[in-house]
Amino acid sequence: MRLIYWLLLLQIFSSPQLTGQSFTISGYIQDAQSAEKLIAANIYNAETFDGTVSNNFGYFSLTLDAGPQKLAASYIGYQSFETTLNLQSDTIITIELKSTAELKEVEIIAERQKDISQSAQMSEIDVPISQIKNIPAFLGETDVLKALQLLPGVQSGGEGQSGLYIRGGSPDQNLILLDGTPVYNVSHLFGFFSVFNSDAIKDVRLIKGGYPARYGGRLSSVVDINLKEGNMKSIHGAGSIGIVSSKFTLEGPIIKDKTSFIVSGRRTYIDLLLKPVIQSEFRDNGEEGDTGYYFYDLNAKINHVFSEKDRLYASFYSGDDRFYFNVREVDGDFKDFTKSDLGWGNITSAIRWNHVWNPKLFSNLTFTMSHYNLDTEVGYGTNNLNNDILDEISIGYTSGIRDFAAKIDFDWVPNPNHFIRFGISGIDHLFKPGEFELFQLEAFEEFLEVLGQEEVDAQEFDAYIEDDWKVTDKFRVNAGLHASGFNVQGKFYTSAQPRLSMRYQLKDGQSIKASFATMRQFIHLLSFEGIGLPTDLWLPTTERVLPQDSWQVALGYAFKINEDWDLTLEAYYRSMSNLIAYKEGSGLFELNDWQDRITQGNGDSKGIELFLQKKTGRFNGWLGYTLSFTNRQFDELNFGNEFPYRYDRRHDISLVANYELGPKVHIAGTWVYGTGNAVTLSNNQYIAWHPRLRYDRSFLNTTVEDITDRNNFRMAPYHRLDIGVNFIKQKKKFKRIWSIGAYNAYSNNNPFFVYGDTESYTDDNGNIVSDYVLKQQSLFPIIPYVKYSFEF
Amino acid sequence: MKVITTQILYTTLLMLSLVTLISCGEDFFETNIEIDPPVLEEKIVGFAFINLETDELEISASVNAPIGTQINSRNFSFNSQVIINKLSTNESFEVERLQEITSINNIFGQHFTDDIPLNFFEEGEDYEFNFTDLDNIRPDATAAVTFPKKTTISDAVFEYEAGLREDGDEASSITITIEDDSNEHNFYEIAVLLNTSPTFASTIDLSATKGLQDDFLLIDDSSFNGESKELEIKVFRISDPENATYQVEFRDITEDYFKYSKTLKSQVDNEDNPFSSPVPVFSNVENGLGIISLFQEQVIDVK
Repeated sequence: MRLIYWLLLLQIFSSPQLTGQSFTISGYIQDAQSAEKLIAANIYNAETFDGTVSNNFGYFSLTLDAGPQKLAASYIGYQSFETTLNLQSDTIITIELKSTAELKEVEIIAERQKDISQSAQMSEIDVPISQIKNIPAFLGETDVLKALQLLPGVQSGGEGQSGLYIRGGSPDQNLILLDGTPVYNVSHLFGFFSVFNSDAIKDVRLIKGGYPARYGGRLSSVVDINLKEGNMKSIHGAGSIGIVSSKFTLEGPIIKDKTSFIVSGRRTYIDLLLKPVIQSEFRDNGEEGDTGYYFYDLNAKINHVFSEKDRLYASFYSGDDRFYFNVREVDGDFKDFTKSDLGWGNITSAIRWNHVWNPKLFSNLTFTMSHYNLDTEVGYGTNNLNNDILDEISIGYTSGIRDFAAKIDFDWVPNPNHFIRFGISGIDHLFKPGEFELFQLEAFEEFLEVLGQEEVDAQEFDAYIEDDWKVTDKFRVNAGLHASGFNVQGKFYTSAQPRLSMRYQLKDGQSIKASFATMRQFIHLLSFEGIGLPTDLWLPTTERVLPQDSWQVALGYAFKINEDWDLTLEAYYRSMSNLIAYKEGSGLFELNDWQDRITQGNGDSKGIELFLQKKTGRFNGWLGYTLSFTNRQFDELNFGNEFPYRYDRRHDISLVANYELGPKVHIAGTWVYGTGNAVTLSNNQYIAWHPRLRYDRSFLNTTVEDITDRNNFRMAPYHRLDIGVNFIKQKKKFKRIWSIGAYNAYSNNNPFFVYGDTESYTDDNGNIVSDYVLKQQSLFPIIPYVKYSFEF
Repeated sequence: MKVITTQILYTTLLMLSLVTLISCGEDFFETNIEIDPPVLEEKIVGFAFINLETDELEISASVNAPIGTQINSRNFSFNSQVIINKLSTNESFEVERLQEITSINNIFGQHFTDDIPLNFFEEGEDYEFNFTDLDNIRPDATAAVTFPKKTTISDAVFEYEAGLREDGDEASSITITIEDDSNEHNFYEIAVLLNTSPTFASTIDLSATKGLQDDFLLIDDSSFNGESKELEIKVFRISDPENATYQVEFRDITEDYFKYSKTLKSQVDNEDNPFSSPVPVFSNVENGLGIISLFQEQVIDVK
């Protein structure tokens, strides 16, 4: 082991740049107009093509030989940059790229121009936010997570749901980061919208396999979302008015080229619009009251440049959903009231400090807070005519999770052949696995009883090191180790997770790639295999509940067919252990220990994914196809027999097409097809017998449903076409966009759930006959939308 | 250019309208449609609960039926044959089918005999129950069962004042000592009798779960395998214990029956609960449904 260590060090420091005289060019790469940092932009020697990419903060470091060097930089949607430097010392530069949108009216939207055959990383997709905004969306609400569902290997749950099911995993196994902070509940309105406001987002990256060592804590994927930093040069804004919600974003400098801000807010308003109607309806019934539902998001970020070496970012997110129903009925001198309130939401914040120690060493220190809380209350009682409460009985239920975290990450680029990342982090988790509050007010005396689960405090520690190593011109490796520990209830779990990705370059833009990764997850989400309810519980690993583990191996082929077209083919196998599920017959809203309600088991998934993408041109888009097989096995479920995962989807197809009819009209369409979800249904019954006692020798009998196997029935396949058109016009002072379109354009009756029912009729002989029938409930027929957006 | 844009806008709106109209069949806003249910696979449903000391057998052989159909003896009975094999001696006998559908205990498709061969049922022996549909409509069904061994209960002690029951009422307790066999994974079913009638019994012991009826307890010996286990059972505290007699009805049961009882209770308890996960009921009848259970029973007088 020690020999390998010394050989690696020897390799790192024996590069040509260290043996001859060499110097380091470092700095930031940014948008020329807004000074927004560009993530993963290419910076390279234009003659040798030795190069690097900018990190998450737009910083790069490239060591080249002394003397004249032709330096180039490129990024999709931007004009390439090229300059010649006479390198005589370490040099700090800021590269500013001009957006092609400034050069012509037609905005180029596509995957950034990264040669997919070059990178060692596999199973990674960057989705430009401009492309996401063009995809037709449900009720016109652009949704980052739903756009990711159109990629191969990524599946949606049910109709309209924003949860991500990636390579056989469940939504809790995705590490969803907003400016480096994990977000626990990523959906509004029971999963129909994600919490991410696309107007505030700069960049979205999905990694679904071959995870670099810098990521940990989840089994399935990493969704890394970065907020915009705010325009450093001038004030800009954007907004939209849609059927469901409106949003507004404002960004600009506080101190020009030093400090910038961005604030973005979104709110639904159906509750406000309908308020007069609802109150009038209550009045007509002789009642007072109101009812409604809304959600909102608020994003804010400040970015300050202290010097060329130090920058500070502070970001904040708050989002809430609330459903309420309050009614008061006048009864003489009193009013009887009934109230229901269901609220849930996240608050996250992050402070990040970038420091450049030397041209080759960059660090980012981060402090984050993330809090998810569900709070519900149902009650009834009596008011006097002044609405003072005279008596009340209510029951409340709360659950949630709160994290405080600190981490430091280092990027070290000793020479162009190595990009080394290392870092450590610590998280303090506080889990609240469900608590009931019973409240009673009677004769001015209050009684409060708290029942349910104790809070659990736990600490998670992580450390990692990884090296993106260009071994030869054709062979590139990203190797690393992620170590983690979890301290809970006096027990300390540890884990060492090796990660490896390799690429071997073939000729003509082709390469083969392979990866292996092990992952460990210390937190669990206990949920029903249905819609994403806010009542889903985040739970810790404990003495009794073991951490989830997985390993994944993948093999891929990448082919850059030409400048426009890319083809990727990947095959994967993934094994998971210690997954959790409710025991048969157990469920929500029970007072016993949650650990008694769950059982742990295993899962596996294997599949092939095809991704054919046209990146540039007036017509662009992609075709994604996934063939997959996903199963679960729990000793205490289905008698220990393996069963298909609810979201085991044999075929999954996504077709995305954008076409620019002209500079002012963009048309887009998506078509998706997926094998139906697996559900548990019974179609037959029998009388079951059960012996009683010796003395009466009788038998109990009861009718039971024969459930042969869990998830034994397939719903009908899901398929849907969405279409949309954007009409863009540059006015004198702002740009306006009218968007119209339709969700489920051919109004297919897609299955949402299936249930059994009994229908009775009278036969020819006058007898009443009952038939058992299966019914499929659909949710949305064609749903048109119209939206007005503006930018200035 | 403006004209072209307007034309495109109108064309798009027209296309959208057309698509919408084309889709507007009778069931356009119908979000609830009937679909074909899975094809029903008819199976034999077999039940037998046989005590080693029994002198007569009652075995039920019926069939499953589509959900929604009215259950009655007509559609649950069929022309069946039941043969029991003792595997160690290859001895077998056929249990006679009763023609009267509703007889003792209202068992559908009943087979009955009071003429069991001498020493046919013995503890530790393996048996195979074969169910045949003489009309060849349903596949033959088979169950393999081993007669469980009898466990010694070395003590059963009554305590009048034993704290509170789980519902807050005052409790008495009966503590029984089970001499568990270390060579076997054992399962037990326990009921408490007060003046020979069953009475509510409960325990906080982690090895126990509730049976289908609340006065039954199911015990898994995983946590005390091979040990002498003292199990405290709480019962109602009555006012005049001097005039009462307590007994414990203790059964050695098979693992299959344990699973069947547990899952049956779980399905029954949760049939109207939309927030619970579905519960399949365990069966040890291969190619069929139901449970074939052999058990040993003893009634212990409590001191």
